[in-house]
Amino acid sequence: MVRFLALRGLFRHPARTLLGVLGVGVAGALLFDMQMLSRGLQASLHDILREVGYEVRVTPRGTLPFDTDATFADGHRIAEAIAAHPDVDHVAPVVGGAVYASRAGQPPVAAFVYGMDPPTAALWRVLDGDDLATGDSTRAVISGALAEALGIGVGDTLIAAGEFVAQLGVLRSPRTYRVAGIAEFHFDLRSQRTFAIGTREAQRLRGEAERDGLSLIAIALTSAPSARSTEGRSGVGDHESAGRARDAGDPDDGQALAGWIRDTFPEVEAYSVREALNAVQGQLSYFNVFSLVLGTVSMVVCVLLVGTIVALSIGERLGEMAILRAIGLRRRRLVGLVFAESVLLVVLSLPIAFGVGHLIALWLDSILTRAPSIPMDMSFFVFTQRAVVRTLVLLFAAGAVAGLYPAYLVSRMRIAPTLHREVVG
Amino acid sequence: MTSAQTQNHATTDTPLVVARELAKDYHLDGFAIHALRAVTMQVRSSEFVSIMGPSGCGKSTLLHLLGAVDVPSSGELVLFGRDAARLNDAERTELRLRHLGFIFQRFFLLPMLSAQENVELPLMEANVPRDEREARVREVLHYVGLGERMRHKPGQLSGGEQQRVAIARALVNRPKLLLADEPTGELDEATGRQIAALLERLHEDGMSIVMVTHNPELAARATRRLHMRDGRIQEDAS
Repeated sequence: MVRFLALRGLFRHPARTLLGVLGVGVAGALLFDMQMLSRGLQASLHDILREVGYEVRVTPRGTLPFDTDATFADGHRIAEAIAAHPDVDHVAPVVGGAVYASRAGQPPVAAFVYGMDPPTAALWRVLDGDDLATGDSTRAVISGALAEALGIGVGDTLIAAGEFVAQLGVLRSPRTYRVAGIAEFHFDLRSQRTFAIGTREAQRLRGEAERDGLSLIAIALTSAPSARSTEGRSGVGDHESAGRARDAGDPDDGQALAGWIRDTFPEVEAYSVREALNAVQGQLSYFNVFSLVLGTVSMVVCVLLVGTIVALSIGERLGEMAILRAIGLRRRRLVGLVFAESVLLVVLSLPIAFGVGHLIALWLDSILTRAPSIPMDMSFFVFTQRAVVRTLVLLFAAGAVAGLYPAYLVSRMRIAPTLHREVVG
Repeated sequence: MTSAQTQNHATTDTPLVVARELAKDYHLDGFAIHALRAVTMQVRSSEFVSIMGPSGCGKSTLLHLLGAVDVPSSGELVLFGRDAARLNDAERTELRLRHLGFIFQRFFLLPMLSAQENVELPLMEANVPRDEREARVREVLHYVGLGERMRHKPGQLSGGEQQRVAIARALVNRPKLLLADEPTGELDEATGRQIAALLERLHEDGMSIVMVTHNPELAARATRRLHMRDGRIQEDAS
């Protein structure tokens, strides 16, 4: 009965209700966007990490993967020691940093090099041509941006060097590669020009060969990390089990191994997916504050809108409420009716909140991800179940809070004086 | 609604309502207003009681007390064998739902509901099953002569028809006592006569009625007539 009366009560003034629903819908859309934004980058990063499939990442002490050009020494020795751990399926040593790239007869451009031996899914996806091949140090895979900048494609020659002597206009100790494929690099910034070669070759290019400098060791766990089984394990350079050992589905996987690495190799940092996400989230606290402030504002707007509409409606209908009480409707029924009207306004606004919110998120995301410092695969607004559930909970809470004052009015209403006022005007 | 059904409140000597030294005071801007002073009366089953008197004499206040929508300042009020002073809000609500029917001067129908839905409300509150609800609503609307207009909303009905719907709503839970506050006050003379005839028929079918009215013709149809002045019953005539 309460739902029936609430629905009829709301549509007694269709225009007012429609405006209210639109208002709550727009405020709800903003709330939904802020929920998507608050964890969007983290969720987006998690999706990428899940896709590439490594559970633990080792970086130079005090850094996140590739947030600096820093490397740690004795990289392959550390990688082999980690590979011997019973929880580890295989490891992928990676070196990366700023270099210069050109084609014959043309001035060089600044570029970023990844050095990684197959399997290479952790960092890129080949779109055209072939990937790197084990033991072939002459192959390179380049990004579309670099291919465009240099005007080269599959089969062409790429010239690269760690240093550019500006006074002479030449590359120092240049090395040449054959472009085997064009690839999409997961963590590339929008304007970044990138190419990839084998790990050892990249170390030579970057001048890291002597100290065996690495930027990152990506570690894939066995399917049963704590089983302590070494069967089927592969280590550095052993790519028989090429590809992912398992999806990085549970971000908590690898925390024990990461702790063991930190204890065993104090010169490096080790992150499970969860720890990496938390570290990134810490750097993105600006977005959290932003989404918290705007989310709170939209909540307040929802409460005020719903509260005003329901309070107005109930104020006009106090006489009716008195009649309903006089003919035997219980007080709690009328209080329930008020809350039902509040919540119903929210329910009616949900399609607008989620629909408009999703469209605004797509639009804002397309603007924000155009920023040159944002990896191309990343998104600011990520549609997650968590964002939907939190939006629903917050909107319904707003509806319930908005119903408090009108419900108080109804619960305190005295029947006889209210009827008397209705009759005498 | 048949005569037999309304007569399930068989006439007994046990009064439905007993009021002794009933008083009601209001406080307005620091002044006490004595709306009702030491009213003593009884209403027996199948009685048709009219209450007349000038405006402000306490007629509606008395009706509100008898209808358990208000509580007396002093005195004793026994409703259907229960001391009203001992009833809490929930019990008074239950009493109104099960034993009392209200008719108001301004009908007070919910405008967004059809006649059928308006009449159905008390049955819904009483948790009557849907099939039975529909049957009883149909029956009572036919009884008041609106069997063909069940789907119409109040705005689509005339004043007299709206009051008939209000009467149907008051009757649908088969109350022991019908309380009517100026039931023809908003109606033209001809329509008022029709409503008066309907109330008379209800009484003939066994319903107990207490009616406040300014209309001497309507009051004359009652079997017992009370005259009030200054919060007191001045005359009680059968």
